[in-house]
Amino acid sequence: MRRRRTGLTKGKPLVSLLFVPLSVLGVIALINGTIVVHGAAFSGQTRGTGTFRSGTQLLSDTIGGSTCLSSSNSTAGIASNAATCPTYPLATGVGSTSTTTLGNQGSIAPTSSSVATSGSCGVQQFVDTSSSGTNTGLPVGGATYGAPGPSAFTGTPASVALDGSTGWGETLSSVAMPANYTLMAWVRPTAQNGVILGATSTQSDVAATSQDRMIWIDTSGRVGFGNNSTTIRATAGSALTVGSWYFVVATKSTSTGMAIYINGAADTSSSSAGARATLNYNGFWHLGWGGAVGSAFSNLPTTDFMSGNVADEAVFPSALSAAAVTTLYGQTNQATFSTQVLADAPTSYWALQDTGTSLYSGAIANVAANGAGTSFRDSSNNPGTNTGTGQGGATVDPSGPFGDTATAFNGTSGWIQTAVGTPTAFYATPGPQTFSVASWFKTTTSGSIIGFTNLQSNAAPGAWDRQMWVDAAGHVVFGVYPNAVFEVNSSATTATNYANGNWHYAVATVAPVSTTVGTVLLYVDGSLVAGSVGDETITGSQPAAAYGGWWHLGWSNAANGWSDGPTSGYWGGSLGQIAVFPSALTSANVASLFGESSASAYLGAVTGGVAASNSFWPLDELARPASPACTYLALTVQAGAVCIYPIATGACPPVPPSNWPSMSASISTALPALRFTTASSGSVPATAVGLHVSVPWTIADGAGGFSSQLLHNSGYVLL
Amino acid sequence: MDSNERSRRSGLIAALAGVAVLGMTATVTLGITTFSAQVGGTGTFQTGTLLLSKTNASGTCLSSSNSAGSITSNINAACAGSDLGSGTTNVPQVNQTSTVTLTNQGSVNSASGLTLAAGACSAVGAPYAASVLNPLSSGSDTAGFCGKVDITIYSTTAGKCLYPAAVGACPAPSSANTLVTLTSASPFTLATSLASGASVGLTITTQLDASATNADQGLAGNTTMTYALGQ
Repeated sequence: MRRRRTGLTKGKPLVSLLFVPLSVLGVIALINGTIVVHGAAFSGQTRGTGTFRSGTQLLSDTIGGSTCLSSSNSTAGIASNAATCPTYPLATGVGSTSTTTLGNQGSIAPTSSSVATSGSCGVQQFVDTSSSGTNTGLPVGGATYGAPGPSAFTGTPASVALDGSTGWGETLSSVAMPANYTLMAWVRPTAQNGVILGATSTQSDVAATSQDRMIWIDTSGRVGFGNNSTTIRATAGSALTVGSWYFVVATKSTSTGMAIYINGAADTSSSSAGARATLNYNGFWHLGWGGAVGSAFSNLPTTDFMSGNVADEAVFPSALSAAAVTTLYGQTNQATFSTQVLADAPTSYWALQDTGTSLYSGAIANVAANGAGTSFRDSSNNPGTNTGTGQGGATVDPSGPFGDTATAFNGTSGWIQTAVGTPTAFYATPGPQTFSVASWFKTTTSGSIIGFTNLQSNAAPGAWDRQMWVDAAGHVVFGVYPNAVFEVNSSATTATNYANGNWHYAVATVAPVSTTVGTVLLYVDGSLVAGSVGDETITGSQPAAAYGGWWHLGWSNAANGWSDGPTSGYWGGSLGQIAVFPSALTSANVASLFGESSASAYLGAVTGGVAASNSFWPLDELARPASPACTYLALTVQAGAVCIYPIATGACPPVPPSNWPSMSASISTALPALRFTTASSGSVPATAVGLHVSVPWTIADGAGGFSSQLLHNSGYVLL
Repeated sequence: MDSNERSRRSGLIAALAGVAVLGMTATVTLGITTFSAQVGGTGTFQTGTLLLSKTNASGTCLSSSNSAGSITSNINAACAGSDLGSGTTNVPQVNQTSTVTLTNQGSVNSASGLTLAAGACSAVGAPYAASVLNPLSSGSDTAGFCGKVDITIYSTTAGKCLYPAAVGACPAPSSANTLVTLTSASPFTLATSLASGASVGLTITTQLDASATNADQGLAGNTTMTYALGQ
C-alpha cells in the first residue's frame, strides 16, 4: 500500500489539512470550502503626523503712542523681519527726554536685545540735485519734510512745510551772485506773508550787509521781486491765495531787466536801468527766508520766514525765456518737471523731495566742531574727578575686551592725560604706596600701558615709576623704584608672548610689608606670574618712589632707566578698562575681576563689587562725529533703571555728559523701557542753532537664528 | 472471474450483509430497553492577532481599538500627537528630541517586521495667535521650510542610526537630512521581525537648520508617519 501524500493542493478535502502543520500555513482564507494559502495577510498599522513648528520672533516699540512692528500684522508672511519705523526715539527739542516702550510680540522669548545708533550722525539736508550738485541746503528750525507737493502734478509729489517763524533752508556755498539769473519755486502759502527765496551776504538768518535777488509774498498776497535796489510787484489779479499752489518765477537780465511770471504766464516786468542793474557780492541763497524786512525794497512782507509749502526751488544762471517758463509750468508730474528743470541747466536745484533719511555729515561753513577734546570719563568710586583727555593719535577700537569699544593708540604720539594729580590726596607726595593698577591690553609690539610721573604732561619727568609695560619679548613688566630699580616680569614663570594681538588682563599690586621689604605681585589673565610676598627690598622709605604726580595712560617714561624697559614710551595697540585702586588686590580679587564678562559687570566690580577704585577709565568713548553739528549734541540712554550710555550701575546723570550721539549697548531681554535724554554740549554757535541733527537708531532682539529689528531714521533733534 | 475475483465478491457480500445487519440494528425497535452511547466535542479553529501600538509624547494609540470585534482594516490613521515633538517655539540650531515606541501587541510573532514610511512634507503658516499686536504673522518661506528641518532617527533597540543610516549614534542634524530627503529615503525597516510583546524604540531629533532665516518663523512642516507591522 502506498503512503497517502500530505502535500496541499487546490481541491484537496478539508480533512487533509489535519496533516499540515499550521506553522507553515502563512495566511489562510476560506474560499468555496477549500483552504487556500496566499502568504502573510495579517498586518497592523498606525499612522500619525510628524509636525515640526518654528516659533515667531517679533518685536514692537511704541513711541509717543505710535507702535512699530518688526513685521506687519498680516498673513503676507514674515520676510526680513526688519521694519523702518516712522517714529524716532529722540524728542525734537534738545534737552528733552523721550521714552520708547518695547514689546515681544512673538512666541519666542528673546535671548539677546540691543539698542544702537546704526550709522553716522549728521544733519538733515535738502539735496542740490543740479548737475553741479554742490550747494547743499540744510533745514533749519520748523521745516518739515514730506508734505504734499504741487497739486498740478499727478502722482505723489512732495514739498517742505515751513512754519512761518523758524523754518527755512540754509545753503552751504558762498557764491558770487549772478548778474543774470532766474529764481523759481512752487509755493502754497498758508499766510500772505514771507520770503520764498532770497540771497544775502551771510549764511544764517541774520541781518546782512547785502541782500537782494529775492522773491516774496506781501501781505496782500502779491509777489514781490527785489533786485539791487529795484522792486517789481505782481498784479493784484495774480495775488496768491492761501492754500493754493502757484508756480512763481522771477527773471533778471542785464539787457531786458526784471520780470515776474505766475503759473507760467508773464505778469509784471521792468526794463528800467535799475531793473537791469546788478548788486555785486558773494553770498548765500536762503530757501523760505530772505532779508526782506527792513530792506530798501517796497511792499515788503512783515516777516522774512515763509509760511506754507515750498517745492522745486531753483536758481538759474540766466533769465529764462517766457517760453521756457511756460514749458516748465506745463509739466504734469514731478519727474518730468525735474527733468525739464535740469534741461534748463540751473546753478542749484533743491527739488525738496527729500525724506530726511539721507544725512549730510560734511563740513558746514561757519560751524566748527565742538572744541572740547575727546574726554575719557572716570567712572570710579570718585566718578568724574580724574577725567582723561586724549592727546594725539588715540582712536576707537570697535573690538574691546568685553565686546564693547576700547581705545587704540598709534604707538608714536597717542596717549591720555589725566586731570587729577598732586597735591590731591593719594597723588601727593609720597604718591600711592599701597595700590594696584589693572588694565586690559591688546598689542603686537612693545610699549607702555600706564605710568606715574611727577608731571601731568608727558614731558621728560624728574621722577617716574609705577610703570606697566610690555617688553620687546612680549612679557608683561611692572616696575617701581624703592630707591632702586625693581621689576617684576611675567617671564619669571612663563615664556608666553602676550604681544600676540589678543586681549589680556594685567594687574600689579604693591604693598609694604615692613620698612625694609614690600610685596609686588604681577598677574596676567587672572594668574600670578611674577612676584612673591616680601620679594621687594626697600632701600628707601616706601615700596615706590616718594613723589607726587599724575597717571598717564598709553604712555610712561619706562623706556628710560629700566633694565627691561619697553622699546617705546608710547603704546601701540589698544587699552581698555584701566583702573587704579588705593589697595592691594588679593589674588581672589584679581580672579574675580578677570572673570567679569561684561562692561557693566566690570564696572560694578571696580566700584565696590570686588574693590573700590580710585580712578577707572573704561576707555570706551566713541569717535567724534564727522559732522561738526553733531559734536554739540550730548546724549544718555537708560534701559529700565540702568544707564547704558554712558555705562553706569544706576540711573543716568540728569544732564547728559559730553558724549556723542553714537552708541551701542545690550539691554536686558526683559525688554525694559528706553529713556533717551539729549542736551546741548558746549556752546552751540549761532550758525548751528536750529540745524536738524539726526542719527539712525536700531532696536533689535533675537533668539537662535531669528532676529527682529526696528530702524528709526526719520527724526532729528533741533540744536 | 478468477479465484481472487471470487474472493473479492465473497468479501463484498459479507460486508453488505454486515451493513444490513447494522442497518437493521439502528432502525428496528425491539420493544425492550434501548442501550446508547455518544461522544460530544467541538471543532474550533482559532486565528491569532497581529496588533501594533505606538507611544509618543501624546500617549499610546493602537492599530485597532481594544474592543471585541473591532478589528477590520487594523489601520489606525488618526494617532494623536506629533512624532517629531510638540515644540512650538523652535529656533535655528537648537535640537528638539522626541521618543516613539512601537510594540507588537498581538499574539502572533511578526516575521516580516516593522517599517516606517514618511509622507511628503508640506509647510503651512503657524502664527502666534496669542500675540497682542501681531497674531497673524508667519514666515513667508512655506516653500523652503521642509527642506530646512533637519532630522535624524535613532533606534534605541537596534542601537544604530536609521536615518541617515549609520552604525551607532546618529550624526548631528544637518541640511543633508531633512524632512524632504526623509520622504525619498523611506520606507525604513525598523525591525526585520518583531515577536509578540516586543518593542522598538526610536529617538527622533529635529532641528531648524542654520540656513533658516526670519522667513522661516511661525511655520509648521507636516508629514505623515506610517508604521506598519506585517505577519
